[in-house]
Amino acid sequence: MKQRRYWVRGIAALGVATAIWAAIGTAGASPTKQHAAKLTKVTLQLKWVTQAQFAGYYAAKAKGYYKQAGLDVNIKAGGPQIIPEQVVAGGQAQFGIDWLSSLMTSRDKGIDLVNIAQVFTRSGLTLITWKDTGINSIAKMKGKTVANWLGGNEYEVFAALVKNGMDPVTQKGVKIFQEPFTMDFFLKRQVDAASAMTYNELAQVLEATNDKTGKLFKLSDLNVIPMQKVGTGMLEDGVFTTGKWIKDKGHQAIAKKFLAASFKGWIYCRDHWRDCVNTVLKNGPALPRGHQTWQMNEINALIWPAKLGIGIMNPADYARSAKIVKTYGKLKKLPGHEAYRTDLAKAADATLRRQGVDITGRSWKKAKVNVTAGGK
Amino acid sequence: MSAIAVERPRERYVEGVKRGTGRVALFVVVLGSLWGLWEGYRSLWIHQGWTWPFVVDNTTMPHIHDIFAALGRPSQTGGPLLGTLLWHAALFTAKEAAVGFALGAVVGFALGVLPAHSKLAQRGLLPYVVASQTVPILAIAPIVVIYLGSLQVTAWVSVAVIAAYLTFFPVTISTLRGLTSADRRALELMRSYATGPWQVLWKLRVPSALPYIFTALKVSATASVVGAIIGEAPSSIQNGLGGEIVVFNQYYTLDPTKLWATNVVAALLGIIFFLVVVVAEKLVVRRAPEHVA
Repeated sequence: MKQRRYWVRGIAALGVATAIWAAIGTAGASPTKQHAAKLTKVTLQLKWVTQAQFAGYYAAKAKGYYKQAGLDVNIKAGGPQIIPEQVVAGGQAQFGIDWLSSLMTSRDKGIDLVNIAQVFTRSGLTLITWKDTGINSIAKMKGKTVANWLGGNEYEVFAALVKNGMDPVTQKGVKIFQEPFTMDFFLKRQVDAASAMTYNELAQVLEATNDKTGKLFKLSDLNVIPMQKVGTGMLEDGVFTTGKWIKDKGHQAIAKKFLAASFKGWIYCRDHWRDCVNTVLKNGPALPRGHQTWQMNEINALIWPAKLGIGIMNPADYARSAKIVKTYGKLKKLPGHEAYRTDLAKAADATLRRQGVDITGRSWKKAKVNVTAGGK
Repeated sequence: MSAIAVERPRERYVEGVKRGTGRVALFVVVLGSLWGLWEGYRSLWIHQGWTWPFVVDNTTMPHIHDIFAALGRPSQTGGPLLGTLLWHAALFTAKEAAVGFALGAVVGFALGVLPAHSKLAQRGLLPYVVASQTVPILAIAPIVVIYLGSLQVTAWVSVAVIAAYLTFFPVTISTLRGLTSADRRALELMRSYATGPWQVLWKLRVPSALPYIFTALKVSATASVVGAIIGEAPSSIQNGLGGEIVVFNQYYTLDPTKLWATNVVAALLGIIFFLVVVVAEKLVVRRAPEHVA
């Protein structure tokens, strides 16, 4: 009897310890899902972790737009190891958010994905340099070091450099530096030009302190060259699903409702953007407020004004994006019109227009956001 | 009589306090020296302007007191304290790691028992057990997530399985080693009594394997925490320490202390797991008959 007890006790001790942990965890993480019984469950896979870049979807959920449309939407955050195209193709999510170029690359590999709404109508990618270097155009980057994240994010920058007589692919006339996820390298002047999204990296530079003056860096310390102005801007965040899933008439109805509610979320974020920042921060309690406030304003500038109505693909922008991706993504063939459809987004916009909602935001004006030290 | 009865516990008590203070003093001295080394290195490099092996400044090496102070500041303007946020994140990760640890320990033990009884199983199974550890966890994790995700399993369970994957190996190897280390004479004695293999296992082999198993469990306890943190990234989990690490990594230039503070909390969680196993070991091994333990 006594011989048995020692190991029984040990296992019991460990068992009890694990049980306590499990109990603590499940008690905290079991939201009641009973009232959602009648709602259609769908999952949305984001491109990156929670941030204002996806504010519209979080707003649609927080304001109850999804629920009003009969949907129970599970918003899954992305991250460094998550590829939305794979998650959607694998059936773990019905909808995904990613850059149009990623969708085109995936399609070229034979993955059957379709863009059903192009939410961002212009590119947020810029090349930034320090003003005192005098590099205020792409042409002046000849013989300099230019940073980019690569891995499919480089097409706009490469196209811009080629347009100005450099060859970034073989590094002739320009040196390409693999950009890390923080802007420290740029602040320490390890490169001449760095890629920066208006809504993220640009703000990170402005939120840093200039050691020489003891104050924050200013926009006037920088040259900001948007790819949109260079003429090599590509379409970024859009909503996609699989061709197989969307063939079903019932699924098309779900998609229409999903898009209408999501657009309504984006429209809310246009008209009540500060409130939307709060929604984002509630979903990401670790995010710095100042940085997200800046981001929300810049994201709005990528969507609004939406000439054709929010979510409708502009064929000319699509064609330009396709050509750039074909060249620098080394695609087998030029992505054609089969990669997107506008009927669902148009139906969603029509629904919203009938509700008297402004779907173009023609009178929208960008707000002025003051950066905060450290993005706080 | 009564004088002795009063004296003895008192002496023991004084002895205990002395030993206790000694340990605390040692802990404080070691902690203080580590602190001093960090701050000393920092100020020397900054003062001399040395740039090898890396540039030392507030971004690369924040002050230790800044790192701890970050825990007491709000995680965002108007948000909860970073310490509170990380406490909840640590609880979430602890749940994943604990379930993973339990799963890994059981599977690891079972995988160790089988080869201990059959040479065939040892030759057939062991190479694959070893091979499993040469496959990087970063490659396994997404597969586990996709596979369990398609079975409609809650996301954190996938993370627990990933943690279990890092846990089971040391347990298997040590169980096998421990089970075969039983005293030959004792084994022969048991056999002469015509004891069944099941009884030999529980009454002789397992008790003699306990010290080995506990050594492995101590290694696995910390590994399960690491596994849980790594596993959170491909699982879209933002509630745990792994999720916070991704976010704070992104904003590292803006506020490096938050990432460092998260690392400190993750390390503390690993230490707590380790200590739990140590306590369990004390309970078990003290109960175990001396000749086998």
